[in-house]
Amino acid sequence: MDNLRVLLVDDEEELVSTLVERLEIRGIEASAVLNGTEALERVNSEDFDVVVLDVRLKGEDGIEVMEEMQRRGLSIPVILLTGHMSEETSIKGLEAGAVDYVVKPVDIKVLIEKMRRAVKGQSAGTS
Amino acid sequence: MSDATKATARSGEAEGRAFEGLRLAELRYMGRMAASVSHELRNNLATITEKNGLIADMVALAARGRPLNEGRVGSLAGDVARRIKEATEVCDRLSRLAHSPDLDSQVVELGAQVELVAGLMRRHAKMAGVTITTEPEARVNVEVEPVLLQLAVHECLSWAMEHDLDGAIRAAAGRNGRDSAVVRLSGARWEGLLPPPPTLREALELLGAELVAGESDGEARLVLPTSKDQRDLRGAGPSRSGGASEERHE
Repeated sequence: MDNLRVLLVDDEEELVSTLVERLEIRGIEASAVLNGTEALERVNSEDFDVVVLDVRLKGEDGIEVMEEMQRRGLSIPVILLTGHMSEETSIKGLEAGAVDYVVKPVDIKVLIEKMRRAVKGQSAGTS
Repeated sequence: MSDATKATARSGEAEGRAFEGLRLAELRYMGRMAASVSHELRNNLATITEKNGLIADMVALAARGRPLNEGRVGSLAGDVARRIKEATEVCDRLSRLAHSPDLDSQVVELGAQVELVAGLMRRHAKMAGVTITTEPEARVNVEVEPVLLQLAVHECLSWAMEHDLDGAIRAAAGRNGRDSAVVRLSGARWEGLLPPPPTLREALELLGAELVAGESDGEARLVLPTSKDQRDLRGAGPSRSGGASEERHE
């Protein structure tokens, strides 16, 4: 768990920068970007164990960003972050390949547990 | 049935359909704004949760011997207070939106109504990479159905967001002579909205208002009478009855 690397993608800068600090206090190596383009650049050039991705980015659809990652052959597990309790959006995201979702405001313990499970699932799926 | 009676009936049916279409447009506007407000509130609550959580983390680390950065804690507490203030303003806008359909017609300050709609649209505008600024030229009261006025302003600003010139939409409310008021809208290509599409046209007719091209490029003017009497003098469309409740919600 100490070596877990996570990329947070959300256009709410204050939110993600604070979340990064809180994850780092817990020994998780966290980075944040504010849009899908930056996210694709980072996952292309760096190794991440899990991506936490907002479904509604400024001018972008988070699910489409995730699908672009898949088209590029990037098999990093994605947890969707949503401001809505919309069941439809969550189902759409899971059907499109997300491993899980969390609803804002985020409970950090729940988020870490979901990240842990996502990475384990990925390991199990690829071993 | 005589031809005249048939014509009257057909006219009544068409009017009913127009009112029904307008009522649906109002419901869509209210729903869209409520969803946007909900999202804005959730983002504020999420940020407050994380800032508050970070303060708790720092205090817990201090209890285990790590020096507490008091300046940082103070800064985080200030951030929390600011986001609570923002969330409170969002709640105020939601409350004003919720009260908008309470009465058929009431006297409202035009600039405040424009500011309300712009505030409610802030998140949509941000997502579209556009800013909407309101610059009241003068305080002016208008006697209108508030939700109808808001719908008309919303339709204009929505159009502007999709046809902006430089990402900056401006809406300035003020007087237009003695008996009318104006909202000057600038920063967009308005040609496609003139003449207005059916829903906006219906709303403008009921308000006794008109949307006209402005004096300079990228400007349009929403001109409306300040009182019901002036609206009647201009031969505005018939007012709706029975569609609004006078019951107020808390």
